Amino acid sequence: MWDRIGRLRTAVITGGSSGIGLATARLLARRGGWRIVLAARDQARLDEAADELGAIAVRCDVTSDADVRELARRAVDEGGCDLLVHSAGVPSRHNVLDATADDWRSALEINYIGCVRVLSELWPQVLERKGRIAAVCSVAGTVALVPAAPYSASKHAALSFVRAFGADARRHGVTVTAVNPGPVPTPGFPQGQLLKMPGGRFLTVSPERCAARLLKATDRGLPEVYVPHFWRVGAAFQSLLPGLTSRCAEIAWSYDETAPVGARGEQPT
Amino acid sequence: MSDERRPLALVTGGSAGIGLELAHRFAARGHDVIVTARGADRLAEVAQQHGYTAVAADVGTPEGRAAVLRAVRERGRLDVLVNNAGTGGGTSGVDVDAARASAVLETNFFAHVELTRELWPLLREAKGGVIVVSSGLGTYASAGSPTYGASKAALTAWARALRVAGRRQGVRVLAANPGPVSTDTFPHDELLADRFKKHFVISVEQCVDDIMRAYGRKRGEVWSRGAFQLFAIAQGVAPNTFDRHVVP
Repeated sequence: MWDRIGRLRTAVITGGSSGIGLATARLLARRGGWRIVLAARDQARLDEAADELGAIAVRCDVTSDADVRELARRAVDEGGCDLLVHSAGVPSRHNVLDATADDWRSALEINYIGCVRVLSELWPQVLERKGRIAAVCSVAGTVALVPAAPYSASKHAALSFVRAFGADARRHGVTVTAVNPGPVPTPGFPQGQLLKMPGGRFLTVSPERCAARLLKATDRGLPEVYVPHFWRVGAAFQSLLPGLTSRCAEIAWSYDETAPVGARGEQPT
Repeated sequence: MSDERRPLALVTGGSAGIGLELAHRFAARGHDVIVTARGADRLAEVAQQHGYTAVAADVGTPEGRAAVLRAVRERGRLDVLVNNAGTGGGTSGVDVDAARASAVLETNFFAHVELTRELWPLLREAKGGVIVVSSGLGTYASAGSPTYGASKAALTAWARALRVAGRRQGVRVLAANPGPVSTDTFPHDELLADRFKKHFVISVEQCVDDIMRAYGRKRGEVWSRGAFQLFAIAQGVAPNTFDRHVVP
């Protein structure tokens, strides 16, 4: 770890009231030596989490410039951000033809523009302290999912942004880690359909394990990490064999109960 | 010129570069062509010269899209939709902010998603096709253009998903990922000035040749040149090595 003796370091965690963000906060609290700033939208859950960990709670909607600026200000009050974990995100389960304009907009606004906003607002502090950044993207950022197209597009954008941002940040001495978890059952992402499938739970991984991998990768300064490791296959498969990947997506979609009329090959009415 | 039985192609961003060249190719195949662009003067000149219908509109705005939709619906059919309008990022590396990222996303992503959704019924009726002109940077990251790359990554992801849905409904979708193409909007002077990197820059004709060949073969995705797929493969297979050593 990049220890500096005698100073409490500050971690800012967005999406910190539940799921991967909360699990990461718990791990940091257990490690000790961290002042934790939790940011999330849901005030009740946020207060509960902050009480549990003795953390500082900042209500923050990542789609709001004012909220994120306030978060950055609070982080300065707490000594400046040494570790930024951006895990705020929402699911958007709509297939590519049925998703409305608002579905696309809300997914991209929160999952991608939110990521840009948080990283760029907190960047000066992290740079000053030569800190570290971890941004939670998704395996859906490497393979296009037809039944969750807006989510997938937003995570593609976020992952691409984090990679590009990180490549430059590294030149300034700040490491940026893109964390790509597979399905993780959390309050925000219940993964109901997957868990109902036979063997589906073997594809999921707990938020605690994901948080542990996140911190380990951040410590090592890895640019990119998949949780569990085997999801790397998805990205390799997509880039090597785009045509076959598309066929596989089609077959998978034909088993999806939310596919619209006409999508399974029958005549549209 | 506008005959009911002639197939119709709509090209956004069609007054110059890849869009204009694609418009020429579809006109040569016997399509009526509607071209749209922001700059009215240049568009009018091009349209008059080649006999295309011009719609001066910014597809990045709801009013612009409405104008384009009106022009297409008047014809009552659409066989080919070329989603080509795009803008550069104007950001580099860590110098980004949310406002600029949103503006880029508006033109490079939402414009195409919303236009295509409105026109989908016509395309399905005609068993037509969609060509999405994305970018190689949508399939691998470059430190030089975080917001442009991100908007194109979203666009490529959407095109890939649309392809799967389209195949079931008889509409073919092609995601085209060109590398650096020397056009008026993106001259790539700094690449051309470099002794080695200048070999990466391709001409508009070469790029459009690749796109039309892939479209004719009903392919789902094409890199132009094909060698740029190697960057995507490198990042897909070995992301950490790529991020540390290769990132263009």
